[in-house]
Amino acid sequence: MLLQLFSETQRAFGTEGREPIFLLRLSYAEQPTARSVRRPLSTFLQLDQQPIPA
Amino acid sequence: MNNWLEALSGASAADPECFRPVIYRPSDPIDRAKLEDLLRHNRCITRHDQLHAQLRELVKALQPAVKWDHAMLDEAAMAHLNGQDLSLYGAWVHYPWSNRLVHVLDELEFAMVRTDRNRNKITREEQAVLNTKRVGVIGLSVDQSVSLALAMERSFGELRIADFDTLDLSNLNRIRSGVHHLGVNKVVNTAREIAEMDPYLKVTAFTEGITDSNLEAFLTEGGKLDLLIEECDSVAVKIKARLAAKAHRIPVVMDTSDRGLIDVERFDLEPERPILHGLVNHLDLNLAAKARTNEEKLPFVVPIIGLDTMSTRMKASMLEIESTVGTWPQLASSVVLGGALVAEIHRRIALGQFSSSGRWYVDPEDLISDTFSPEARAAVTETSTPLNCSTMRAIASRLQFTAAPREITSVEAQAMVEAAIMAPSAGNLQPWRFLLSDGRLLAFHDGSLGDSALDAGRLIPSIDMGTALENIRLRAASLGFGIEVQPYPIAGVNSLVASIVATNTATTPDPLADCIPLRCTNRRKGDARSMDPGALAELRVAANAVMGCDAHLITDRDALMRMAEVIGEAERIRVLNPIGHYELFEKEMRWSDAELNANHDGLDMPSMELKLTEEVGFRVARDRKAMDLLADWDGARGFMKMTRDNFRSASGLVLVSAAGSNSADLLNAGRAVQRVWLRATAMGLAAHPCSAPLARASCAIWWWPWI
Repeated sequence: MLLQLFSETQRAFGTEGREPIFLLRLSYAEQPTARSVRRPLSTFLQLDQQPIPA
Repeated sequence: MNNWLEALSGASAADPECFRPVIYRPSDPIDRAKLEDLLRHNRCITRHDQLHAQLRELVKALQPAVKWDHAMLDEAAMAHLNGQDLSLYGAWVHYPWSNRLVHVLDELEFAMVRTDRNRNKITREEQAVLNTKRVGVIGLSVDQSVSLALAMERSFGELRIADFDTLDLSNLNRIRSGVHHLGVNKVVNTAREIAEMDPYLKVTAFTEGITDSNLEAFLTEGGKLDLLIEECDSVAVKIKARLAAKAHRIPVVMDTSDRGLIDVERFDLEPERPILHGLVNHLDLNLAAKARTNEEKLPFVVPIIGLDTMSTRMKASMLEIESTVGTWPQLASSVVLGGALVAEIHRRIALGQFSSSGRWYVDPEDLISDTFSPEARAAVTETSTPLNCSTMRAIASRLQFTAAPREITSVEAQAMVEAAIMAPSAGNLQPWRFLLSDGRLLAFHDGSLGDSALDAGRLIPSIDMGTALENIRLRAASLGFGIEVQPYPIAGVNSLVASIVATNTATTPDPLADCIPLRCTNRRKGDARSMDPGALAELRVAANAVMGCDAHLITDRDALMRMAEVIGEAERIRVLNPIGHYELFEKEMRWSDAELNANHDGLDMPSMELKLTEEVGFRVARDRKAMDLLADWDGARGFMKMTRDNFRSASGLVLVSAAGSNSADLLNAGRAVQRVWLRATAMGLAAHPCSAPLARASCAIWWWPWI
């Protein structure tokens, strides 16, 4: 079934032979009720001189 | 009835409102004359006379210690008549709706025989107390079972029953009746059943159901109720009846016919107790009266029934309502169980043997089950461990560096990572980690957050990292320098995705950088207006800036709706698949503010932009066992409806494609995705990812066999 859905997507866009990567539904809509939350920057970046957190 | 059939049969329909039997006592000359008149003018009447057998039972009940033989019983029964003619003894009961005439003992003797086998689970003294109680029953779909159990035990002096609804064929899966009662009011049906069992019981019928104008009469007229049993479907009546019962200090019992759920509210003993155990305290109860649609009723219904505590079958069925089933299911076994439980609770309340309020489950499936369950479907659990700093540094130490043309400072690194983490990620799990090492920024992917067991081609990590890398590139350009990205610098180490060095090449800022903080997932419905004619060209320019990448756009309404079916089906398959279910409902979703605040990641309910009915469905769908049932039934098509609804309001669907599928191609494709999304943001478009149909074929072989 998934293979069929994959092929139908390829056909719908006429992209046979290419790698379909990502689909985005586009609308003219109001701003979202809420935006995705994010962790603080410090949880992502480790600098050279920073000690390793316990 | 058809006119020709009516003419041929000569029969007329019985009075559909009639439920009171007519009792004739032939020992009374007036009654005897009326009985003779009835028999003279009603030649079709069916007569049933088993009085002698009842007398035999009566003498046994009066002298239980005697060892009776057949002849002794006959003799004692005849002696009990004291010379009176058998046909004149007791009472003759005429049931107009069936035109039956039945000979029975008179009330005292009848009641003695009929309740004889209650003793001493119910003593005669207790039976006498019960016979003074007034019980009200609202809603005769489930409560017919309650009413009949109460009547069989003879545990009331008056039963007030209310329901406006009539009996349908589809009610006969749980309401004891016959097809000849179809179209008859449910109250009338129940009253007839009771009268046929015991013509002396007092039943007061409210065939218009409970209304604002009769609620007070129902509770108090002819004496205040001793117990209210409430089983109706109307949220407004549930709440109004409880508020009124509370004001009159009448206890309320409710059975919900799922998992043997029983609620008891002792307003007689706890006059300040909040209705429904306080489960609806947070709601404006005045709104309940105005609730007409499911959307309006749900805020009240959900806390009352408790989504987490419903049976698996009920949850799975709820998700199929208005798809493959019309409404929620009710089984005779559950309804009869509820009738038994409520009758038992009423008796103990009436006899002062039970005084608690609360919620209880008498769930046969829990209580009576195999010692060894059938082999459960494998639970899906997380196996990978989070990426920590020590591991990142250990990996970094294996890199063979050549001197960087220009060292990235810690301030620059922070600015670049600040942009990177504004990128989208699957399930908003933010699997990025960065290490500034020797002037280079190393980008890591934390597989414990970002890997999907369904993503054999590692497409998802590539997009998560590619979008972040594009943000880094855009931010660096805004800071005035270029970057060089070496993808996967250590062969076989997928967690180290890129080594980034700054170059001395002067760059000009890309206007797309301004959209980085503005870009977001927006699941709101749009106004379905046509897209600007130049939209595709603009999106293609954004994608084509990355080597090998392109954007393709569908705007035709029919083509969009065809894709809605494809995407909806893929999303349905995802939630039915145990791994897909785990990843969405357990790994990605944040179900409460507490969960959200603890993690600062994942998908929170408000951002899902669900209608209340959809949110309830979503919460119910979290139950893996319910979804396993839906997988067996090939159900869960409600998810397709949600997708369909979203696409009706959409303006377009854009596909980002790549020329190849090696790891570098996919990382580049992620960059192109980010550029297209930023471009769409700049064009004032809301964007919602819906890539479920693009799951790689290699995954499919170990999904459900039918997929």
